[in-house]
Amino acid sequence: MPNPFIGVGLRHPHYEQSLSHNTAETPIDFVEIHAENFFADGGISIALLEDVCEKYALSVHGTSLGLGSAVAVPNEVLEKFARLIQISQPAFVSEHLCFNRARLNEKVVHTGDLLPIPYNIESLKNIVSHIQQVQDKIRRPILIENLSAYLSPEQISPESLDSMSEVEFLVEMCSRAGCGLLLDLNNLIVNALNQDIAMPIEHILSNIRQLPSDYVGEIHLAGYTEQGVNGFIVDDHGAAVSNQCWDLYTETIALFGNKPTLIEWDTQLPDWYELVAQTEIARSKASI
Amino acid sequence: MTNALVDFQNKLIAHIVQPDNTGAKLPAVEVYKNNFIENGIRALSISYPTLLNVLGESDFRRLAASYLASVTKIEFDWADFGAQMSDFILSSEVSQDLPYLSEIADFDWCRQMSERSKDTLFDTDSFMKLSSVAPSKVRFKVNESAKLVSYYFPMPLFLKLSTIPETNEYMEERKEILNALKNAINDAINLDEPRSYVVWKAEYKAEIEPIDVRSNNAFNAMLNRQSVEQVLSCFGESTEQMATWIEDCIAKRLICAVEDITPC
Repeated sequence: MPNPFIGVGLRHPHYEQSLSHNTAETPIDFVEIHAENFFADGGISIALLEDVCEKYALSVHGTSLGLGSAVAVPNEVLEKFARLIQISQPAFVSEHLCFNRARLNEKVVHTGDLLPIPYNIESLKNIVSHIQQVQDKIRRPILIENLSAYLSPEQISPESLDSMSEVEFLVEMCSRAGCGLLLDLNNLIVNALNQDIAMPIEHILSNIRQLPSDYVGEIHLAGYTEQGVNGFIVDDHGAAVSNQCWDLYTETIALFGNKPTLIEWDTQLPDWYELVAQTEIARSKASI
Repeated sequence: MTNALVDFQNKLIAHIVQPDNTGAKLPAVEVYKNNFIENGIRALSISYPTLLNVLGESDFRRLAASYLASVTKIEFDWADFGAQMSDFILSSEVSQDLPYLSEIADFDWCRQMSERSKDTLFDTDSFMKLSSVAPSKVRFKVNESAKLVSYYFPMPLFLKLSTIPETNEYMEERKEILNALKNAINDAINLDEPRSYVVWKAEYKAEIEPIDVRSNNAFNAMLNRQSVEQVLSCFGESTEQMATWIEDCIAKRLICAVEDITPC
């Protein structure tokens, strides 16, 4: 694996340009796809995947498994996920520290979102068992991404109290499940800003310092739209990587050394070259 | 599993997906509610492009939001959510004024299913069997994406209209299609029987073509895995029509191979 190893999130409008991109001129070391976009049995997405895999190393990023849900992942969904991993042989496989479905009127309702889980032992045991279920199925460890959250579970259900910090939870989860961590720096920033934490970058860094370097398998960099919803900054990946995020990235790689790094930009997508330019900034920071 | 974790997850999901649930009056819940609605509308607009084009953005958003509020999302993948849109429209008031909307929704869903279905390998060599094996011993292998559908309203015209840009350059072309659509909609209201079409993907994009009664019967026979002999018998004495139809089906990759019938 080259060092630094810098990639971009590959989204539908950029498929064509990504395939004709001159990587000798401007390197892109890997691209990330969202697993669910490639769950169809056939069609253009599957054909495209073959072309992408020929050109780039791949990261398969799940967004729908919701491994923190109290209800288990159905086998048919796990099968689709495993099939995708098998045919694409990605460099990285990742999912999120979240839940997304629950029982409502006798049905398991799926919100299609990334919802927060409490940081306590019950929640830990639950997500660890589901991570292990996935890892057993695909026969390799996965990375779990820390979440941006707009509420804490106890605001909804007073008995869902946190008994540990987010960092303690992440470390314990990696240790018990044998998974790694996809450290999303933008999510940490969005959380700190939404919680009105004074000196947010210093606060985040003090948390990051508690993470064992070996657990961090990948870093996500992103920006957010300033215009909030109901007073919250929303983690919409709708802008260039923020200055705070670049600063945090510099400090993080100084702490851990270079880690595979991905530029995430999912909404209000820019031109392909603007996205590529973001990877060049990351590369320059990682090459110092 | 402890009750606390289940209780929290059940409550938060209910707050998010139930429109009349006040969500403990937390602004944060509104963020998640908003995400759910916007993600849902975006997903439905991808699954229902013709419907979006016919309705326009603001009416489509209203319809999609109303669908989201009425139909429980149990699917993991947003692309699988929306299968009941046609029935939903049929049972709503909008169907009274715009009777073709339900059929357009059915057509969009059918196209999406076709495009996402398993790709069928085209086996050129297998067609040699048509000259070397008795027609009662072989059958046509139909493209796995193919489906017979029937509509009163002119879906090919709606589709064509949705693909033409709304710019000055295409103004005349759009006007012509709109006129043709207007006439076809009037005709449709007086039809006794819906028209039959076949929907399939030859490469990646779904296509639609009208199909006559004989061809419809022959296609049904193929879908039911009947022998080549039984399929051809649908054309009776019209051997010329039969030959042209078969050639056309092969050229368009509706028929992808000829395979032996193995006794059960």
